[in-house]
Amino acid sequence: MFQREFVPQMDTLYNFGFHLTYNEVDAQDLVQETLLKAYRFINSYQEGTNAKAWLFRILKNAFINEYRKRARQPDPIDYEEVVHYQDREDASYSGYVDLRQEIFQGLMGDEVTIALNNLPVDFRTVVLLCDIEGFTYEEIASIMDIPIGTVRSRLHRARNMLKEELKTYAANQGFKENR
Amino acid sequence: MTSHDCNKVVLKMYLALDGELSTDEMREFLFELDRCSCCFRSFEQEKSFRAYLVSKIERRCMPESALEQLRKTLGMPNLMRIS
Repeated sequence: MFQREFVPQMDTLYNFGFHLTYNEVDAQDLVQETLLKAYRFINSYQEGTNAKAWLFRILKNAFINEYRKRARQPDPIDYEEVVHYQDREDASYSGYVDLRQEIFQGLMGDEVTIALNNLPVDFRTVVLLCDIEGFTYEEIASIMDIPIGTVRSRLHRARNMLKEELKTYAANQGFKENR
Repeated sequence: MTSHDCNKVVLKMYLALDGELSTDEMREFLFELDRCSCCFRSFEQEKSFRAYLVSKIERRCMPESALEQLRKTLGMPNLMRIS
């Protein structure tokens, strides 16, 4: 069962771990810890349930436990942002950042990785879970232990931050928005 | 016919692209897009942006050396990569 249910998620777990840490060794450690934990609790796992969401939740918790502990101090910006947006819930939807196709199509591509990397980790995580892994809002809420309303507002905010950053890169490369 | 509110449509746009609207809500949303060229333009832009984002975010696979380490740690020498 381990090979059938959990191992197929290994590469997506590694990719998620890599984008959280931007370090190959740390990503490998996270995958190893996640699969070890899943193996240890295999008897409590019901076959056919959402293995992928469960494994991602384990990895996310391992990341928080191990890697935030390493930081000299917790990242206050992330949490302040989150509380702020939780309070405002849907009010944070009011802004729509317009990013015309010809602007981002003119970029090289590396800028997306850099812009994503620059997002606070809580914001980066929702984008990865939603846009790359295709999890539903409900699954993301359960993986991240946050309300669905917060998933929505955080995704919205994260995408706007990405657009703003890509606009800046495009402007630096000489693309004029009004041409 | 209800009045058209671009802000409300933009709200639904994110949900639509994330696959979070029910069939009825989706039908209603598409109807609103037919009523307003600005909303339709925003939707097309957002759709292209998402596609661009997904195509450009780097994807990495677990290196073979890490898989070998995992086989040792789990005591499963026959562990195979399945994708």
